[in-house]
Amino acid sequence: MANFSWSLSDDERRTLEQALDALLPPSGSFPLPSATGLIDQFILKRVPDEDAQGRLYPRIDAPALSRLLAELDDAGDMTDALSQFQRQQPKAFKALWRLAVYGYYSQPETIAAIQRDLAPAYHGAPLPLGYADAIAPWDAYDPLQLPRNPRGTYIPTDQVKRVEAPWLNQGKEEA
Amino acid sequence: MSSPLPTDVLIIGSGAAGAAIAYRLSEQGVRVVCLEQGPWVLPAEHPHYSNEWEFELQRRWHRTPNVRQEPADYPISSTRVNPMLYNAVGGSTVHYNAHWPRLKPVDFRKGTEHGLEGSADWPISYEDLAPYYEENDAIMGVSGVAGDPGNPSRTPRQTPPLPFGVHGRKIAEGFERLGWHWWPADNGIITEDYDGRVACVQCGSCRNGCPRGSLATVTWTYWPRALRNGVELRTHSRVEQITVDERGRANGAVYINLRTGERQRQRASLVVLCANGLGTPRLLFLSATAQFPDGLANGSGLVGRYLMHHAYAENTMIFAEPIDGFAGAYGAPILSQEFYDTDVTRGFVNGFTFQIGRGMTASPAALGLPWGKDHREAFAKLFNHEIWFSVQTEDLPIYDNRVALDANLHDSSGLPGVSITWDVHPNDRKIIEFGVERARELADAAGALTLETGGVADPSPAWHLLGTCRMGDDPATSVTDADHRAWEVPNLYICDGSSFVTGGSVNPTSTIGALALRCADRILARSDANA
Repeated sequence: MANFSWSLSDDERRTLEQALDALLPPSGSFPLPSATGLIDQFILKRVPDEDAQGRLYPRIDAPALSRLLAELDDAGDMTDALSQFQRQQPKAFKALWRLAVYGYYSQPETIAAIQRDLAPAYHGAPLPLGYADAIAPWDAYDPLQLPRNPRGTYIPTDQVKRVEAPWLNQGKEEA
Repeated sequence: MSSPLPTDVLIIGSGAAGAAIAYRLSEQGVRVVCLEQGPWVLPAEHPHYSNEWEFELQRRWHRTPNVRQEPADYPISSTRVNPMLYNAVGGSTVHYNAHWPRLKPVDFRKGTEHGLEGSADWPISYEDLAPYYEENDAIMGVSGVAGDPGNPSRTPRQTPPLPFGVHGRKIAEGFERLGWHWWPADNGIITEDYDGRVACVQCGSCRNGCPRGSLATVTWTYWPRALRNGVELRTHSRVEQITVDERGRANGAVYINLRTGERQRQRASLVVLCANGLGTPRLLFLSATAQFPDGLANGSGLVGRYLMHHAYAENTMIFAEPIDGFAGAYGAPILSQEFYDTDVTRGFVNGFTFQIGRGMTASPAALGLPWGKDHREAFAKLFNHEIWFSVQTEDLPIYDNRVALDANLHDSSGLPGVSITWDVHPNDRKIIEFGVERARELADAAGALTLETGGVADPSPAWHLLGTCRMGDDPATSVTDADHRAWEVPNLYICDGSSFVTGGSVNPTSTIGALALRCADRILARSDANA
């Protein structure tokens, strides 16, 4: 059973905040990752503190995250450091990227930004709201929802006939 | 080893087939025990009420057991196939898209039509199955509208079709411009309250299952009926062997209680195996004895052979304007079967279905984009601007495409896992390539900015696991007869996706349910259940 009770040192937290902010820089209504609950409400609760047999997506545990952060520590330019890290350790980078994306886009501040900037109906968690209010019911009177001149045919059972082509005999199984 | 009281019928597997058979037999007073290695998933376990639901799709709710690695899962090795299934009461109907097309009449006659590779006629026809399709639809609850001239007529659907949304209308406009067949698709998702279940609210997370019960999961449809009839459903019960007597007749199964580790034996007069296209051959191989050295019911050597799961190209259209693709049930609102039937002038046999889906939600959309300063702009152009759709084609039944035991992998009980050998046939590759060209035409006609396509999917997404215990008229070329009765073990029935002779170019769950109801009727007709 994976355990999720672990913490970051101050240095690790600072490096992680810088890395997340460089991965997903703010724009428009979108917040800085470090200004959301991404670390405390997601990463600290989703990354196991010991290797859970390497099975939990995105396959990174707390010691591995610490090692990753040590590599990025004291980076003069975090963007350059991340680019180099991506080239040198693509698997570890991918794990960090996945954590960043899934965590960031599940934060209430980010969901609110999507609503404001991109999609007013979007609300994050699928339920309880759903999107029944955002998508009109099927309309039988709309010709783009039910064809006015339906096309299409099918072959009835008693009309199925042998098709012939020279190449057809090449793939036949031996009897 | 403890031995509960014997029963008339033992069903192994509680998914789309096992549930329907349990219901039908119990309606007629047959005593039924069903063994299911997974749990009963409770509504509160679904992640729909959490903002982190997308992340949960990558963990417990992942479709691939190799990623999920829950105690009920068994490992599967494959390099070319990404197998997807769920081990719980309800099987893979616990989380699926519930696309609900039927096979067409010609799909039951591919031996007559061309006979390429292992293509053969089914021992039954569409007409044999039609009443069972109808009954299964009525119990599962289907949204759609009758009248599609591209398929045999069917009764009015239980509820109206899924909403099209902005995106659906755009695609329909494309089909109209091209003059191609299209129709509002049938889906196992109810759009109005039906049979004590509440209507879908279009939350779009069918792939995480449905805690509301709007998705046609058999825990909401067949199982309440079957349990009311007295069926005994034992969860966390992993069968390790179907047992046979000295006459070679099945007499029950030995199973492991996954909560206690205890082995138990359930005796039965008749056994029905419904463990899906992978689990069913796996269990037949695990049940090998001196009497059946190559696996139970495998005198033909065809157990595990002819694996099919459909071949795909997954495509994305991107539009300039917002299209609300994140909204709406993840069934397919539209399908097109313009290119379904064989036309040898195209250079291949069989054809494909266009299935029009929805768009991505935020995290999956963001994941494939660049990081850093370009991320926001790329996200704004993609999210809420794209539609996923597939070219789904029949994959030919090929002798060498197969399932076997993998002695190097083991489940949580130490039983061997499964290996899959599968490759796409050149015929099917041609269909996909042809389909992708048609997809480009559709994208242009619908006004899309671009079409992104991966071409022939590799590894292939194996949502559908078919053909590995095919039915037939000849013991030399099939595993069961037309009634699903194993040729060599007359009181062993096999009914699930493994029964398919050919796969058609459509999703199989509606056909599996129909086959199951028919199988139960054949069992009742033979009175084997009370033998």
